[in-house]
Amino acid sequence: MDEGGDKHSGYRWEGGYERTWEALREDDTGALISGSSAAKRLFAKKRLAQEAGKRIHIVRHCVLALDLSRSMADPDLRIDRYPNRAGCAIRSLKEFVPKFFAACPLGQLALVILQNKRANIVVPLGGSEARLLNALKDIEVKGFKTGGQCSMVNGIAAAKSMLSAVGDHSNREIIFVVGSLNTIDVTSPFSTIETVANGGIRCSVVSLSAEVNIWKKLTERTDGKYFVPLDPIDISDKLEELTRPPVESSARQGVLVKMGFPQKETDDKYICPQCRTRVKAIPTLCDVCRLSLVSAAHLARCYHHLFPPSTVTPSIPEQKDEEIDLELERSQFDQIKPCVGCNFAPSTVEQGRQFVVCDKCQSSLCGDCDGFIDDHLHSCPGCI
Amino acid sequence: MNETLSRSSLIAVVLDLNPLAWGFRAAQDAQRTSKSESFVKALDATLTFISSYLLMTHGNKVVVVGAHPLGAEILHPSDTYSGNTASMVNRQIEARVNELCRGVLLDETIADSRTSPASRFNNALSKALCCINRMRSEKDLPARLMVMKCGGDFLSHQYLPLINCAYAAEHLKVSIDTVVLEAETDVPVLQQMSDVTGGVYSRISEPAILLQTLLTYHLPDDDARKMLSKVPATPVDSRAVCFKTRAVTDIGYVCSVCLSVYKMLTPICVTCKSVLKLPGMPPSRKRKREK
Ligand SMILES: [Zn+2]
Ligand SMILES: [Zn+2]
Ligand SMILES: [Zn+2]
Ligand SMILES: [Zn+2]
Repeated sequence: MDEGGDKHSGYRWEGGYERTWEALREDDTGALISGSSAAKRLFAKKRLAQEAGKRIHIVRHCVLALDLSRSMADPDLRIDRYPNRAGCAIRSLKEFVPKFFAACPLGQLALVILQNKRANIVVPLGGSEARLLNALKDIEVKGFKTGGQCSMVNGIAAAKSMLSAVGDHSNREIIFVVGSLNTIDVTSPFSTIETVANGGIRCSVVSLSAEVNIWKKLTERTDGKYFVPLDPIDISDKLEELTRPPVESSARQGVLVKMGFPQKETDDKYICPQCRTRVKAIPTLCDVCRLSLVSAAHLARCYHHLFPPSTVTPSIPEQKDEEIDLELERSQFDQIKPCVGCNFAPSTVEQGRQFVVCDKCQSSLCGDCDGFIDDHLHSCPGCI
Repeated sequence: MNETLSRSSLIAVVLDLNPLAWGFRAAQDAQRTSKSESFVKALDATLTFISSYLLMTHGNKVVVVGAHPLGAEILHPSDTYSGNTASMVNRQIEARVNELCRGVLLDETIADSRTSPASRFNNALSKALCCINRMRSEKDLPARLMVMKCGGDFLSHQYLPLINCAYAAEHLKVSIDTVVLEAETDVPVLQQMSDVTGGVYSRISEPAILLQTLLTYHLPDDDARKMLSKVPATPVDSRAVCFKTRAVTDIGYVCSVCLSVYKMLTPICVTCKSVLKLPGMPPSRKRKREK
């Protein structure tokens, strides 16, 4: 997870001389701890607060278009048991899928494979994490087979055929993961770009080869993001950025969407409240009456995007002066109460540095709990 | 096989210490059976459950959090005793429960309120999860959560934080078991929490069968449960509550901007103030008001 948010400016060896050891400190017992984690959390908080102020797209329908053309067999990217670009893409997509559903519980994903100038819909739009992961695993089991060339126009056409059925309450997106340097199309890609742009479909591209003009144009016209990851780990980081709900660029009118909250009878049996049809999993559309079926919990899980997290202040703020005032630090340390979440009390000043104070309820929080609250609980145990 | 069987684990137990709910319960029991000791019985059953859990595998750990209408307190581990010897743990919990209940009963805000306030389960569960998260960071061990509630309060004011707790637990791979001591109604939010995390939900009407329920359904760990016959499943109520009228509904209209739920069509969302396009109507010309 790229929590520090530091943008890679190039290859590691191109960057400046980094004095990484200076971030390390010794605690009172002589053990090394990294001094940056408290700062990292503050950075993540700032980002959350920024996003919470804006209107975001909570409901997303998103098509993953994965290039499996010959260019993806290039072994210039590889990690562990993933031998080539295709492998690295699959590895990162497997991380992307659960994160996407955690961030957007009402979202739906589809998977399209671009191969031999064709676009095959492997998984149609749906809310099932398992189905997508199985499809990705399937490609892995078959040895990341690649072939032919990649066609952007056909990819967009396949995605559009699915996205056009979705109402305009949702943010419709296509995420391309491509390695190809060109696109082989029957019609002009430029006119296709115009039609998706007018259709309000946001296209983002993760390019595993180099920056390619036509793909970049596509993202610029459709308000998407364009990434060229540097290494296999970076692909995951870039895709993770795409899991976060996009900020609304232009004010959009709100829509009331009719939704059903079905009762769960047994493990894979939900009953549509409108027509009593049985469906296997939610969220989904009812097969018979086309009602969106979700649970109240799915909705509730989204609400945290709308509220900024409670702000905190470090218990022992970093001192700017050259001479560190140890006495001041000591007195700040003495004021730290046991963590309101886990009851842990710091025994050394170094441990105390990880503590923060909730601005709202003034209770102390340890580093572990503070991070856990930001990422998962979304509310401070002292405040609620 | 032996390795998995002997692997130690962690359980966090959230206890309902709401004196009013228990008092109400006792009054009900007194009418029927002329016994008014349901709280003592339930506490005894819980302590037996905790002891059994600790004695099952060497190295098992337990966290106990008490929830009451004023907040939640970690009863064990504490500064006085943080070990995991069954008898010591029990003694500590008993002492802390006594002290806590007395404190809650003496509090004026509670004595004054006419309606029975619910225990703050949201607070208790987030504390329990924080504890699990911390203990996990020291040593990775399987963990689960057990919630015990008295009375059929719907906890509707705690819905949001509780669901967040459920998904946080799911992330930690912690299943949430719930036992509700109540004769008539289910508590939907607890049902949903068990459903999200893959835990077992059970509702019992008599404190007398609490121990039996705990030992048969809730003591076995996730691996053992696969081999045992399933707990009779109750349908999970996942209906939403209308933001305007607080009525429970199974079909509703959801604002696409902020996901507020309405039972009836409404032209303006009360939560985010957006002017809303109604389904099946042409888009209105007016631009939506800027925030
Ligand atoms: Zn239906
Ligand atoms: Zn803590
Ligand atoms: Zn707070
Ligand atoms: Zn709204």
